Amino acid sequence: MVRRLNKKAIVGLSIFFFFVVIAFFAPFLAPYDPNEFVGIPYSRPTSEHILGLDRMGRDILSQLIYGTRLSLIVGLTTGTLMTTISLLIGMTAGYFGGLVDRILSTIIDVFMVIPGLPLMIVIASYIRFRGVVPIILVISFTSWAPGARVIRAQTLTMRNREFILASKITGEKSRRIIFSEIMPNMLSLISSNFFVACLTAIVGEASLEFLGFGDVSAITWGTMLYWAQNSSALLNNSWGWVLAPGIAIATLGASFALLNFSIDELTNPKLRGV
Amino acid sequence: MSFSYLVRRLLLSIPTILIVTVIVFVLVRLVPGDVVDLIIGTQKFLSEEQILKMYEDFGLDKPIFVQYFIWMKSMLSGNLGISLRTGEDVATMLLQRLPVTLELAFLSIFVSIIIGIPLGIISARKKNTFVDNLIKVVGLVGLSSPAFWIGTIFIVIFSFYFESFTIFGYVAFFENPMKNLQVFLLPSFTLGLMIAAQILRITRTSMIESLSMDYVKVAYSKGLGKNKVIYKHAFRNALSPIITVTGIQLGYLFGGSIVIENMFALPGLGRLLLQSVNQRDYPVIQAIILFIVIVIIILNLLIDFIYTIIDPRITLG
Repeated sequence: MVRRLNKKAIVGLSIFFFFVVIAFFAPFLAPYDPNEFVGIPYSRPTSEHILGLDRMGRDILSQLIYGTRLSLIVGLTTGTLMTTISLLIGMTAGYFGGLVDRILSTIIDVFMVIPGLPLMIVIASYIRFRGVVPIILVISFTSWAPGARVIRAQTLTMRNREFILASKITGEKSRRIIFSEIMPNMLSLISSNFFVACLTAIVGEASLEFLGFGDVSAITWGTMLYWAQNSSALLNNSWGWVLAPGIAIATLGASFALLNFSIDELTNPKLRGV
Repeated sequence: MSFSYLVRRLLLSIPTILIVTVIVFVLVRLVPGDVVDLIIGTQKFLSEEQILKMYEDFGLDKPIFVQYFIWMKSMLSGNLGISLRTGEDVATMLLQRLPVTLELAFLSIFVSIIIGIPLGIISARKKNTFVDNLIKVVGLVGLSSPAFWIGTIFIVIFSFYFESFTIFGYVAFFENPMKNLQVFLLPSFTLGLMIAAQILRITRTSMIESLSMDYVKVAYSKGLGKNKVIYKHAFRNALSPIITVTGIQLGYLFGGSIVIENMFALPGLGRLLLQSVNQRDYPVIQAIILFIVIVIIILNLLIDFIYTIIDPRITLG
């Protein structure tokens, strides 16, 4: 199995597990309590505080380490939920066809043309309860459509293959055909969808939190950037405060992008390297 | 593209637009905290009757579906309504902000194309070399970093090293073209880089694909020059997917412009949308989202039309 993994997959997986380990062992890795006042606000990086301190004198490195937890959880949960919605709607539309397909395809079209971020902002601003759960729901609810469209198309091409027709003739139930016959044959498409969804979720979460639609008292990479922006971190020369969360978001995002590319290469040999 | 095809496509998009209007209309009204609450704020001296009068004046006292039909009726007669906060005509507000967003969109797409396509072609030609890997890493950063963060870095760099450079403060193009372009430079690069990463990736993939085709070998064996083969034969055939991706990105551009317009204080539609959301200014929110949706539908139609120009094998009908 390991030999079949390409370079991109190895790099992507390594980054991903690196963050998982950090999230899991955060209390042991973080040098300070992320909510504790440990020095003069806006302190420059020193050997004790590698990334400096924030406006309330809290250690930025510790915040970054603790922030990995929520950022990772939101990314993965949203990715899973979004992929599930795309799968259910896409496969149902593609398999049943006819009126069901008409209705579901119209819904997919509607969500394709409604621009995601404005819709997220409209919904997020109306939710009174601030936290990660609304963010997970809002991003999943607004971003599932492109995935559903691809999965529908793939299901359509599979619907009339012989092995599916054979199952139909032997009297298999539709639900069983969809989940045990069609779905396993789309695994590469589904996982590539999942990685794109996680990437969308990580960047979407950060954008919403940056605009102030998250729980600003929680510690995530997005809220760190929100506070950095709102406390004029850069005017105070707190470089670490702005750079570190962004680099973390980009690196985790890149790991999902790499995993997605590695699947592309598995399915399209022309793209493979030597 | 035949005229009847155009009409049919436009007719087909009507149900989509209708559903969008319902979703947007209901969503902005569903959740607590309406415009009247916000106007009253902490001023407790308004009497019960005065508050009811306010709901009546805004037309918010009627059942939601009645409100919807009143809105639809005035929309169809070309009246977008007036802002609940400023009393301004919504159509005028939109027209005022539109040039800013259009300029940002146009410049961002321009930036993304002049960066994305050449780098994609170079990357495909030098597949698996150092240059290719370098370009791929740059593309990966563009794909996975949030735009607002890249924007922040730009602001920092420019405010440190180019002190005379104007970052904030919108100036209309006809007032002072140079200043205008200066103000738009950073926002359009911020947004453009994000889109360039997507264009770069698809250009590389589809160029690699078309460079391995038989007709490319035939062209080479005819003795055609390298550039001619790459640009006239391979690139032309690689164009369709590139245009598809660029088109999809045009849609995302409007979403991205909300964040960017806010960061760089550009008075465009995105900034207006965020303000209206915060002020629960229903008619303005509805009008902006509806406008974006219609633009995206028209863009999709245009892209289908462009396919027929670059690839004569495709016919619409």
